[in-house]
Amino acid sequence: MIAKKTWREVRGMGLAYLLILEMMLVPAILLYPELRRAGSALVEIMPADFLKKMMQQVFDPDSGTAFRAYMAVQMFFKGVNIVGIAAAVLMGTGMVARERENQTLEFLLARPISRSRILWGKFWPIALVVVVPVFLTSWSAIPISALEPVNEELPFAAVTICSLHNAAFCVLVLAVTTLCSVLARAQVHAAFWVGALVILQVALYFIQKIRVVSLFRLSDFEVYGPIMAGNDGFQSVFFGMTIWVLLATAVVYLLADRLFRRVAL
Amino acid sequence: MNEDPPPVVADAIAKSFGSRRALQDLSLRVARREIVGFVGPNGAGKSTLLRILTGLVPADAGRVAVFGIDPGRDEIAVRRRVSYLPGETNVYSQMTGQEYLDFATGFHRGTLPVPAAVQEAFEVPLSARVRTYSAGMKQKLALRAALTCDVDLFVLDEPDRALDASVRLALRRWIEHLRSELGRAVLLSSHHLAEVEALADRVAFVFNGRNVADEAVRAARETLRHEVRLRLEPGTDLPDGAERLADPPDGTVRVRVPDDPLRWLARLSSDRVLTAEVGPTRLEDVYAVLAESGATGNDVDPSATEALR
Repeated sequence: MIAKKTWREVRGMGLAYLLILEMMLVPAILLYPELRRAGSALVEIMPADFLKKMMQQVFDPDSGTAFRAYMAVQMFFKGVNIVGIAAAVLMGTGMVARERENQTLEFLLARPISRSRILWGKFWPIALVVVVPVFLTSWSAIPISALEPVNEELPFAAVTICSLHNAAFCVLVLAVTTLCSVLARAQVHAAFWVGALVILQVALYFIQKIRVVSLFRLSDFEVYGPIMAGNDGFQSVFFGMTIWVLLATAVVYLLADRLFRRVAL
Repeated sequence: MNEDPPPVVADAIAKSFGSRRALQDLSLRVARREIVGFVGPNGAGKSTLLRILTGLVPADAGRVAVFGIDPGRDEIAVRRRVSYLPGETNVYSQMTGQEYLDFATGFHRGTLPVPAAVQEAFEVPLSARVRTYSAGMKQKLALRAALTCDVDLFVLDEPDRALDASVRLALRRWIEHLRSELGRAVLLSSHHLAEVEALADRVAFVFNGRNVADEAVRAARETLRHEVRLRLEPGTDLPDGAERLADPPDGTVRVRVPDDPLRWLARLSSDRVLTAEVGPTRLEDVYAVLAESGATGNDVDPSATEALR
C-alpha cells in the first residue's frame, strides 16, 4: 500500500528524470565528432590538472577508447552524477518531511504497520525510480553511438558495470536524503541540508590536495574511465568499490530507519 | 468475543515532554459497546492520551491495555483493532477521494458500509482530487476513512472539526450506529459538550493532564444550573437578585441567579431578550467553573466517570 502510494507520487518525476537524462545524452553523443576535432582547444581551457588529464583521454586522436572515455564523462561523471543526484534529492526529501509538513504523518503512523515498513515502502520505489533510468539511458547510448556520423562502439558489459556503480552511488545519496528527511521538519529544510552537503562535497572534489576525502571520488572519471576502457572488470569494480558504496548506503538507511522509529509527533 | 478484554484500560498514566508534564495519573476505561466522551480544554492532554492508546507515543508510567494488549509492546496488534482519527490531520491532496479511502482502509481487515441514513450528509466527490475539496469536505472524507475501517474501537480526536451542524448531527447518528448496530466501542474527544453529552454513555473530564473528580464535575454543573447567558437589546436592565459574572467576549451577558433560572428569566420583558441559554450547555463554562474551584485531582475511579445516561 505504501509502496503503491509512493509510486503514484514519484512516477511523473521519474519519467521526467529519464527524459532529461536522454535529452542530455543524445546531443552529447551526436556532437562528439565535432567536439573531438576541437579537443585540443578544450583541453587547454580546463582549469585543474586532473580535468586536463581527463579531457586528454577523451579527445586523444590516437586512442581507440577515446569515445568510451568521453561517454564515461558525459554519461556517468556528469550526467547521472548531476541529474541522478538531483532526482534522488527531489524525490527523497519529501519522503517523511512532506508528510510532517502536510500534517499527514500522524495518520500514516497510525496505520497497523511498523514504521520500518512505512519507511521501506517509501524508499524502495524511489530507489527504483532513481536507478532504472540510469540503466535505460546508458543502454540506449549503445545503439545511438553506432549511428552516423558518430559510428562508435560501446561495450554492453562496461556500460552495465558503470551503470551499476553509478546507480549504487545515487542510492547512497538517496539514503542520505532519507536521513535528512526523517530529521527535517519541512521538505525545504531537508533539501537545504542535502544541498549543502552536496555542494561541500563538490567543493572538496575540486581542491586538488583534499579531493580524496570527497564523496565524488567514489563516482568520478577515475572510476568510470578504466571500466569503459576495459581495464576494470565486474569483479574488481563490484568488490573493490560498489560493495562499499552499498554498505555505506545500508548503514545510512538503517540509521534513518532507527531515527524514524523514534520520531516524535 | 465475550471473553475479549475491554477496549481500553488505562491506569495512572504519566507522560512528560521535556520538563512539561502532559499527563499525570490519568486513568480511563472504555467498555465494549460503549461511547465515551473525553473532554478538556486545549493542552489538557487529551490528544496525548489518545496517541498513547494507539501506540504512537509511549507512556512514561502507568498501565495501558487496549483489548488486553500493551500498545507500548505491540502497537501493530493494537492498531489492527483500532481506527484512529488524529485531531490535527490532513488528507493526501494528490489523491482522489476514492484513492484516499482505499488507502486508509486497506490496512485493516475490511470495510464497513456508510449507514444509509448518513450517506447523503457524508457525500463527497470521490473521483475528484482531494486538493479541490473544501475544509469541511476533507474532514468528511477523513471521517469516512476512519469510520469505515472494520475495527473494534474507534478513537476520534475532535471529529466534528470544520463540520456544519447538519453533518455533525449525521456524525452523531453514525457513531450511535457503530455502537448500537455493530457493537463497536468509541472514544471521542471534543470541545462540543452538548454533542458529547447527546452521544456519550459517559464523559471523562481531563484538566491539566489529570482526571477531574466526579464530585468536582457535578459541583460545576450544579453551579452552572443557576447560570444564564443572555443576549439583550441595548439598554436593558437586569431584574434584581442576579449576580452579574464577567461578560464573555462573544457579547453576551452572563449572570448567576439564586433560584430557578426560568422564573428569573420570566421577570424580563420577552421583547428585550434576543437569546437565552440556561444551564451547563457550554463546555468552556464548565472549564471556567472547574478552573475557579481548582478542581483537578486523580482520586477518581476511572470506571465511574460522570454517568450521563
